[in-house]
Amino acid sequence: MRVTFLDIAGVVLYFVATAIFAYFTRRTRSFAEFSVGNRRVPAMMIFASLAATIIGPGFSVGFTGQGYTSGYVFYFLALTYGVQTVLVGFLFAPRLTQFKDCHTIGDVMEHRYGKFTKLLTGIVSVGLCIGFTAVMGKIAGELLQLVTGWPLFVSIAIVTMFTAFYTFTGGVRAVIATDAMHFSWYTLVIPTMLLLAFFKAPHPEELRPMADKLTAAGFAGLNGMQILGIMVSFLLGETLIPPYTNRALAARTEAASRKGFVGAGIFCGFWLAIVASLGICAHQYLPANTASDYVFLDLGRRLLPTGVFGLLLASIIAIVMSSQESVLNSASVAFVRDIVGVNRTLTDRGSLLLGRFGTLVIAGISVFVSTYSPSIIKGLLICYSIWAPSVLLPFLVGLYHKRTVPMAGWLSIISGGISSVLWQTVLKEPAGIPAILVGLVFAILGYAIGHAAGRTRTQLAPASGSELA
Amino acid sequence: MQRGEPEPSLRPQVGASLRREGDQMLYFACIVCPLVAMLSGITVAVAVVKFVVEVKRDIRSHNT
Repeated sequence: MRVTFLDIAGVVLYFVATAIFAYFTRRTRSFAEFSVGNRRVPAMMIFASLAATIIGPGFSVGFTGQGYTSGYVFYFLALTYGVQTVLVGFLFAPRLTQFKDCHTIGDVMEHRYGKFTKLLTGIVSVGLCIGFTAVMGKIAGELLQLVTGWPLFVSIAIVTMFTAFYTFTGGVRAVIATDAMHFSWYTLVIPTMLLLAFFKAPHPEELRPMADKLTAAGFAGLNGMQILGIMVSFLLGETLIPPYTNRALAARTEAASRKGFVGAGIFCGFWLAIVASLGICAHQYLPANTASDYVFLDLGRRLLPTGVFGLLLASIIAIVMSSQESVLNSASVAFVRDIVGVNRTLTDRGSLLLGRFGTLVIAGISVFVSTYSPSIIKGLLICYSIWAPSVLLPFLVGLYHKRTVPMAGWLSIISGGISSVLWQTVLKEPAGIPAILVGLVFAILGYAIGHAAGRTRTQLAPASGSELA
Repeated sequence: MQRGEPEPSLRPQVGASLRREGDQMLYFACIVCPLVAMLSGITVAVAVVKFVVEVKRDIRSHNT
């Protein structure tokens, strides 16, 4: 792919602009500032940050590739993701905002199920975040490699460590501000690209039949179980993962939390239509054998003039960084609170230092893991199949019920998580039944058995005495 | 002709109607959605400037 000096200049300028922006919000004095922005984030910032985190490489580059191969199939299936975010906004996010002394999912789990469940939640949270960071880092690294020609490992390391550096200094407040900046940028560039692709299409009369043909063929290639599995993955796979939970905990008020989540869910529906349509329009410009992961970039190269293409490259970097920074921040906070701090009381300064250096260490681990990560959508679906069966069920139950049983919490996490991983990796999903469904069944069983066999514990008193729902 | 299937004379109309619906969806996805996204981006750009100013003020008040 031809990349000119002007394109490279566009990318470099974007890195500089992000660094300057992060500089303005860099100072953090306490762990509460680093982890939840002193719980003073307004609704619009919750919306922008959440939407920016949701729209990662999978929901942009990956989805355009899916649109190219299977029309609007993944758009229809992934609408469950938007529905999920709206439902979380109405049902769970405002409840989370009430936990005024909590910084992580693990903190909430400790209130309901005790320290062991908190530790397990912390391990799953950090592991999942490393997985997400690695998948995203690989995509950004491949892009940087394309522009510079540098080795892939070096390119991944540069992008990931650059993101880690400003997350390290400014914590969640810098993350939210830069998220919103990235969001503003790519919501201008990528929709413009679609408008260009649509209006400049050489054979516009073929767009509609192409969309029909691809979508019909895409649905025909999936059986009922696969469709159900994909829909459940999008519905539950990322529900209240650590960075989203952190946004709910950082919200200024319950209303801000609700508005932010509902807005992001609705926006998701519009955005997915844009990126899927880009894939359909790409058939007017690209040869039929184009690999799906390269459709987005190849289309940009064909449509945009020299120099302007650099703005698109910057947009993709923005998409990756906005997701990566949120995941990195929440991973380091979970590491401090749920793993290191599970059995000891850390000072505020100690927590802050550990959180900052934890960000760098987790980013470093992600760089190594990224060299093993598979393709975009596949990588994301693997991450989804771990989160929902392990932590989600006891977490959601705990938001609504105080009289929980500790055994139900940890047994659900262990049974759901292990069964899902074994089903996927050892048994290779027999009969095409997706791992996430099997894991969820075992999580429910584990929870029910734990609830019946275990004993209710006295709820831990909240440190501030200001909650609980 | 099976039950529920439209009469032959109505088929072209049904087909045209479906085509129109499909076209509307394509127009919605390719025109309305990009415009909504761009509007959201501009709104957020204004909000983020306000947010950064607020953060700066917060940092300054801590310093003094």
